[in-house]
Amino acid sequence: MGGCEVDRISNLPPDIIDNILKLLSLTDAVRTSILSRGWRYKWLTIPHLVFDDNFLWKLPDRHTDIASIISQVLSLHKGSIVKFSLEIYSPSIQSRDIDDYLLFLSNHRIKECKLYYSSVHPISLFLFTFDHLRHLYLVCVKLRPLSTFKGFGRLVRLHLENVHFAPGEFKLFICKCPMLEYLQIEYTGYNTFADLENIDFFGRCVVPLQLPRDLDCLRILRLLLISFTCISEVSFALCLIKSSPNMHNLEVKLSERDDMQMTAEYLMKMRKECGFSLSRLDYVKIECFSGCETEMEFVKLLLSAAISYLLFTFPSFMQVRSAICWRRPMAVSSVVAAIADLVVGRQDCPRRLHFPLFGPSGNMDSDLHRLSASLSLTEEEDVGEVMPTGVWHTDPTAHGFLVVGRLLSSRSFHPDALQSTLPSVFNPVRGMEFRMIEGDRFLLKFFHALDRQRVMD
Amino acid sequence: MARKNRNPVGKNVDPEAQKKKTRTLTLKSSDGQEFSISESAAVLSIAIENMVEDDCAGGVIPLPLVDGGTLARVITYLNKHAEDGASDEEKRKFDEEFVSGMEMGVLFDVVLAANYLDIRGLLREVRRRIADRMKNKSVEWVRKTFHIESDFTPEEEEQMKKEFAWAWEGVDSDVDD
Repeated sequence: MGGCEVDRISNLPPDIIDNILKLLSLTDAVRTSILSRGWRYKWLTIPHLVFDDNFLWKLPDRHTDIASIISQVLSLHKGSIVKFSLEIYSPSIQSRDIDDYLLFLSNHRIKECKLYYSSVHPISLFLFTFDHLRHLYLVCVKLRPLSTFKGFGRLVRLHLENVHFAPGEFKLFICKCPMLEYLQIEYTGYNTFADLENIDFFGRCVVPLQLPRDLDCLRILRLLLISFTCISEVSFALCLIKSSPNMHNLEVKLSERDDMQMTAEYLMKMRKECGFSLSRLDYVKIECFSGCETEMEFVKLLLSAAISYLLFTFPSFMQVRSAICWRRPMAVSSVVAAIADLVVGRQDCPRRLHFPLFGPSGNMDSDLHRLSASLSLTEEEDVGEVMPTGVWHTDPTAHGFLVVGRLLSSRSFHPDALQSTLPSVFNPVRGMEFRMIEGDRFLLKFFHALDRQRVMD
Repeated sequence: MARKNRNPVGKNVDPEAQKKKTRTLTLKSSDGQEFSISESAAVLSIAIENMVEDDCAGGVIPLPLVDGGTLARVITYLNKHAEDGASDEEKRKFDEEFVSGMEMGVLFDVVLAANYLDIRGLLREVRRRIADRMKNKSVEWVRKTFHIESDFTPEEEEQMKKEFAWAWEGVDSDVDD
């Protein structure tokens, strides 16, 4: 057995030490250099260099010149670097500095690269020589690949946030990433969308172009902050969906909404004429769903696939308030009715459907019954996540902001599943507590009156 | 979002897998203790799997670099991970408790054994546990915890601290956790 007073760590095989150092933050790793002579140069061979918030927070206040710290680390580094992650915004890091890092890194076989620019800046062309890349995560850049760009043949995950392309270039770029399995696009420039749009002679949008080449490997597509007000954004989404025959998961987060008749009509036309074959699509999540016509048309289009899991979330109270141009979301009961109309009677209707269905209003119950009758939960399905739905009675004398709920569904349900689902359904600003009381009743406690108000509404 | 496959066990009636469950191997530690273990658990060690495949196992597999106490621990780990019906969550919990109870000396015995036997999961757990003892700690604390003796002169140390002046602050206070 190991003696207690012996230095055993210093004599571990080098690859074990390397792997231990890899788990430390860069600052922790640098500190090991002073442990003893044997440790002096061990940290220099760490293949992962991560400059993140964790790194930033630990820096003493007087060390604000982060750019030169990064340069120092890079210039001392020995051996190969496979991951370079710059996840901080700092005024001391200029775009020029990042270009220098990329020049340095182009000598290495970088597999994972994450870069945050603080203002939209054309990225150094050296990035396009990183042909071992598997993960690429870019924030705030302009991507201008040269025509000679051969593509990222090994790229499997791509995350683009506020990334801008010149017209026509997104299409070319994405098709040069044939192994892509995961694509997330968040708030991208107008040109990126316009790029895919096909404008006819009268200035109207016609069929979205399919990408020149299908994204055969793409399984997960996440489009965040996409606006259905704008036809070009809708057609962009449709184009990606249409070009991803093996897509399994689709997540869409909607941003500003003004119901546009034109967009709704466009979506309807696409659904009827364009033959979307979404044979593999299985899981769809739509965040900030308001139930407006455009969005309903989008859901109809997606329902041409046999989706087994369909999840909606509503904009939270804060989200509605903070966005000036947002319409007030449609009354929940009408959304339920509309979804029921879509789903009921279908052979292949989703086996699980999640959306916030609360409020003691009108004829919602009958819609719910229509819905639950049509959901064909099969035997092996676990009985948990049935639709949570409730009739609410507030007890004004109780402390805090309490709501008593009862599960209307006659199916058995699992309290844990309900407990984990409800917070995401309500999005309470101040959090909430959940407790089963008796039978099918449960108690919800909110910590802010507005949260409770919103739920009751 | 629990969309895991619902029938993880029971469906695949692979005769080879069944055989592995019933066949047992004997592992012999450096101090001569013998342990019997099902083949399905033993082959979670890539090194043992190779020995079995090359058929150089015979009846007893000698492991001259692993002592009995350490081997017993490793076998506990292997048995848990080969257990039918143990969920990923259960295994994760087990892993956490398994390494968090270990004294420093034992951690090093196990990390060397896991390295030698090529048991990736175990190696990862123990490495993580060791790294956790270094995270956000001062140089003095790490030296004390791991019994590392500094052979730098105070002047050299001062010099190096200047070189990486940004790396010495923001550590936890030197209290045992």
